[in-house]
Amino acid sequence: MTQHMEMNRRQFVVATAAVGGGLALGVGEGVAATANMMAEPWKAPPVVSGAEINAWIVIAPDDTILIRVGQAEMGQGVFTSMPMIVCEELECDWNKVKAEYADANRDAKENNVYKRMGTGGSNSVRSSREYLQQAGASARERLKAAAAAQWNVPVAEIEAKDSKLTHKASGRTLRYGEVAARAALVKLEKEPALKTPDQYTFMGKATVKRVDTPLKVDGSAVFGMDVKLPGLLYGAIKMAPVFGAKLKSFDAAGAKARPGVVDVVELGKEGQSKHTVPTYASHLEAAVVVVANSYWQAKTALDAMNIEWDEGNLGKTSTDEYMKQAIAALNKEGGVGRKDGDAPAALKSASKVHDFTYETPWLEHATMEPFNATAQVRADRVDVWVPTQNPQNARLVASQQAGVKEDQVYVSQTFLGGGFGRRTVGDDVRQAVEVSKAMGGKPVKVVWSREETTRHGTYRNFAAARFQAALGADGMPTAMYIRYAGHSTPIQRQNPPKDNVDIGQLRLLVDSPYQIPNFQIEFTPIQTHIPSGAYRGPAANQNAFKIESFVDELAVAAGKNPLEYRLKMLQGYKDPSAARLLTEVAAKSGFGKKLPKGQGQGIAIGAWPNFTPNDGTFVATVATVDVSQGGEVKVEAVDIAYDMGNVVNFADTTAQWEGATAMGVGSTLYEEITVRNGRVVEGNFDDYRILRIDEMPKVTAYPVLSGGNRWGGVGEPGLVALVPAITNAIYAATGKRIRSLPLKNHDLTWS
Amino acid sequence: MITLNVNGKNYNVDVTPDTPLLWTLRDNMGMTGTKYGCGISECGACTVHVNGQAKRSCVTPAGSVVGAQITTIEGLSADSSHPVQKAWIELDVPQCGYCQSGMIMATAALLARKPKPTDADIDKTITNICRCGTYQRIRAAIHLAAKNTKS
Ligand code: FES
Ligand code: FES
Repeated sequence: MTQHMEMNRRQFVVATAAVGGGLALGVGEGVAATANMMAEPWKAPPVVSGAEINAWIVIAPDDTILIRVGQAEMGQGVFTSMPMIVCEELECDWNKVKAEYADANRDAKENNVYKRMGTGGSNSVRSSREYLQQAGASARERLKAAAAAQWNVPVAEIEAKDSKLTHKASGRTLRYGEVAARAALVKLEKEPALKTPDQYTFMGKATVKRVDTPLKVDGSAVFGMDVKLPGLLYGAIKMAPVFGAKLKSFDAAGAKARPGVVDVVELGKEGQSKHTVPTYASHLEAAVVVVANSYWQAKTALDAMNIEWDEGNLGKTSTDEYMKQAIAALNKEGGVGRKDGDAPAALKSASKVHDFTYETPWLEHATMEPFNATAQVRADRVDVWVPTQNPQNARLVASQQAGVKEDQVYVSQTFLGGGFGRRTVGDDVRQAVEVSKAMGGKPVKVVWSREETTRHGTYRNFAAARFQAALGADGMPTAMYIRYAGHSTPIQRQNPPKDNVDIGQLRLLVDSPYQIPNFQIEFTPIQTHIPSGAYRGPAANQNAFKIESFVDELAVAAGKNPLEYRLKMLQGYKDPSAARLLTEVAAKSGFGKKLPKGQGQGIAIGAWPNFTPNDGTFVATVATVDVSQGGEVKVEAVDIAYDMGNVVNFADTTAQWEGATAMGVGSTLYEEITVRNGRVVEGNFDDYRILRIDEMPKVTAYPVLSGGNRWGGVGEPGLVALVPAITNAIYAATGKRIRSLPLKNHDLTWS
Repeated sequence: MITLNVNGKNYNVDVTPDTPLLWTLRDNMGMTGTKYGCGISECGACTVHVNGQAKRSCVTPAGSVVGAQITTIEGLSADSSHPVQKAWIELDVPQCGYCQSGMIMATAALLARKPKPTDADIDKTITNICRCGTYQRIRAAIHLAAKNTKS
């Protein structure tokens, strides 16, 4: 390989130069000495000053390596797993790796150098693995080339390992830090080929501890809520209780007379919102913001304020009413999403039709960190500090609202106190920018109370689905006909979907792996004023419940074991993983063992993002439950067999299965958002109940990996098969079939 | 103006006595390790120690703890060497981390009172919420910390 030395000033960017926020902030006190990242994760650790090999990698003379992370750290461990991918190819010493967020401003200035910075869809590894491997491999080859030039030997004779370059024949070695500055100038003729999974020595092999843990046990990790700035003001916000209502009047003078209050800002005025896509949550919802010297002063003044809203007809709506509309729609034909054979005709000629309807409610993400964003708007520069899942979107929203170019926006991405899909839309950013503008460019942190956070979500949408089937002489389904009515998925979509079919909402149904000769699925969109959006495992998180409950009912009707029944329905499916996982999880959990009345096991299968053969993540789950005679449900154990092809870090992967299980058990038992008189009833954790430690089942996750080129995600699939595994277990324990959620609405007593 | 003793030091703070300790610590004293999750004593994210007892600071008026010894996550140890912090690191408990200051403070108070807690003790005492669902590791880490605490 020949190489060219080429001067490029940008390659000498010194990593300690202020990127991201740029404002001088005091480093959080008590930063754990062992942390290899800053409590303010948008900043590079100060020890890393060296040569930038490419936009992702800086190598210091002492071999410290800074790796930039383009995904959001919301608990899933990307600050560990993303650098691991780079490290695999870079052949560097992991103990000297440090991490910081990639800078969304640089991304704007340098032609999208950080590619996809949004985090969602369990896609961090799936969509960035190749280019991160490439960044690492490219850097490694350039380090080798620089060493080869120095020793005047062919590159092929150089070995790179553990941050050292070795020329075997002569026994010479160089440290990465010694050649990094020259490696930064090397231009490769051709990018190196990437390692394939069978060549990995680090990814999927080592169990690596998370780099952010030390910052999360001493209180130093900076979340959006924790941002401190000189002269920072605090805004407490009250949004229209009825989505879409207008502000009629409020008593600003009374609030301004209270201690510490600086001003009162109105949001949602005609023409004030500079959004381009006209949807809820992309615009400024009508709101009053009290700005004060502390949050408590702002909040108490806001609470004391008399605010009147113009609700129009929206104040007459309710979730009950919308659910009734959906159920009524199930009697009519919808837009066709899948059609194999002729299911309606097959049902007509069947002697018996199994016909059940399943309902799922709206859910709130309930991120532990309430919503917030901080902004400072100056003439030529806008700064935003925000716990966002998508800094590129935050940048766009801030630039629109402040009227500056995107490369004038600096997003300092903090740690996220949970995301789950909620922190993707930028409603928080737009508010903070507008309030800072109104305050003459002073820095303002706008904080939503827990109640505002709960009542202004972008909820997991609701749905009702009617399932009909006919069984053949052998008890297996010959026809399945599903009619589905629900809120059309993302908040970005306000108009009815094309041909009235929202395929995204039909996940795991249109792609069902079950082999049924006559299979038809129809969809009817129900428009509501309740905003809905991405929620950990969109659509899959409710559709597995529906189809896996129905299949369980069919197995019972056919007098078959639910495991055997599923395995038979999967015969002929192109990906053997589905059946393998069911068999494995059944064996591990002892599925089918005799249990006393009141105890039971349920089994189910799911996938994320779809059942696409040999792609994504497949999962099979067995839940073991105990239902007391008084009807109290305790999920005792959850066993999971999963196939995501390959795994980067087993430690994080296991943690995701555990955490998603807690979230899913809680939502199955308790969670639902109720709207009455147009507004959300639930407000805080006293009426929106979240699972607690005494209710946590024992979770065991078994990898059954098919390897190859399959890469699945892990953030979401844990919420999929879990829900029907629980409800099927309740049937096994009590004989009561659950066709709507949550369980708290059902009488499960038995004698 | 009131005087609070936090992590062994006295601070004069300009808040009205009815201001919750949570917001006094966070906004007036710059100690942001103590978190706001609910404000109504439901989630425990705001847990601190007052004279060694776990207290939810969101419903504790600052004026009510004048003269008391207040400990926050920042003061639990100088270098994350408290057995609870060490167990948390060893088992990689945190996911997003937002609830963890409160979890650690609640656990530290439990262990001070009951060095070898049973699962039932944990169920009864650790009523904090973790939306990321790290409960399985929290339980394991509590037992680990108990094991590693010299009595
Ligand atoms: S913030 Fe105090 S208990 Fe939730
Ligand atoms: S770690 Fe995220 S809420 Fe507990």
